[in-house]
Amino acid sequence: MQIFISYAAADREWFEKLKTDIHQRGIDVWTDTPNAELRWSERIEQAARAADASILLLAPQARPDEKQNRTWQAALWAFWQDSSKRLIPFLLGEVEVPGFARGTALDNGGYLKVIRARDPQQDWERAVNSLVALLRNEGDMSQVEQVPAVTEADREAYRRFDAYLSAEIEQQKALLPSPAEWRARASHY
Amino acid sequence: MPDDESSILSGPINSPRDEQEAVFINCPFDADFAPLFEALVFAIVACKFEPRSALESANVSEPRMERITRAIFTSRYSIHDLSRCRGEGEERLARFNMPLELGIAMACRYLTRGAPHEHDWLLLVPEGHVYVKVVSDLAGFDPLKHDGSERTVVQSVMLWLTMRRGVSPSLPTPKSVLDALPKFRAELAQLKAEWGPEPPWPLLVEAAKRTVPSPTSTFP
Repeated sequence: MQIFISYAAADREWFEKLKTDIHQRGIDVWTDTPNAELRWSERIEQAARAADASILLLAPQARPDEKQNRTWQAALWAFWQDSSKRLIPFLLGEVEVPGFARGTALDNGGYLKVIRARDPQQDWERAVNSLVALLRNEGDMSQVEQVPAVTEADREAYRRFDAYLSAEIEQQKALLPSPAEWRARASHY
Repeated sequence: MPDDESSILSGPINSPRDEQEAVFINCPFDADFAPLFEALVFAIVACKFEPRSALESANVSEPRMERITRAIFTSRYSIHDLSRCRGEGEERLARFNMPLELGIAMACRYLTRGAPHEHDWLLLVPEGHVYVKVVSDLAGFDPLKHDGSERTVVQSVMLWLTMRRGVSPSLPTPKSVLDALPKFRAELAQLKAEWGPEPPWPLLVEAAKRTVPSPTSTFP
């Protein structure tokens, strides 16, 4: 089994620890090796496509850095091409799961399985064991958390957007001529 | 067609918009590209953004460049497809409107850098396109690619837009959007029957809004 891990530059130490601990449990983690043939963005796309699962290592921070964003893209693209490839958030502390990750559960039962180390200093080992169990689909999964694909905040965002777009459309429609007048014009573009 | 200033053509560009929600589409407006353009509009609405284009204010008395510049500057995001930037037709002419509008979006990004509404743009190119030879200044930027199919255009655009969202909301998958695309096409056919081959922009967007898959319909 080969795993692709996405992480922010600020979380590199956690990534190295996770990589080592997963590897010790018999799972390979893709490691970037610069080469002249492929650019970094192409290497991560290739790696995510080749991996059996992508792990999103997420720690509390203001916003993802550009490189992390690109690795998220690579992981999500790989999932969209083959939904048997799993996408598993590995959360350090009280981190919210990004919408793009929760969206992958919309066509797949409505809940996303995530691993959370609430206090990484204290329950790291347990979280890593749960992650490995989840990857292998065997063993103790008691620590696997199920996050809903659609949250109340999502519903509020949908409602807000729908109201906004409806208002824009109605405002523009109110100024439309009749279909006959519209058709009479040669081209509108 | 009303000929006063309160026409459909002057309304949209003068109305107060939530630019955070708007995505300007810069792509070819021709029959060959039309299916991809419609797929683009649909994917943008599915990602809960307002699509915008030069079509929304076509024929307004204001010069075209000013209309387009205004639309880009009042949109948080823009998507630029450079499909037509190579020699076509008997005279082997390339179309330069699209790189020009991309340049406007790039200027907008520099001018808004660091601001809460910082403009961001996506470059979309067909696979194998020699865009770097056409606009060598784009070397170093990573475009998203499509193979000319609706599937790859929808996936590329949704990938980029999904990443522009933060923690919320979660969005439908490209598969569900592509599955719903025929419903949008059926509504477009009705609009074209009533309004002609180029139906008004707000009706196009409304049809997309009505037919995009809703995450809450799956999980109410």
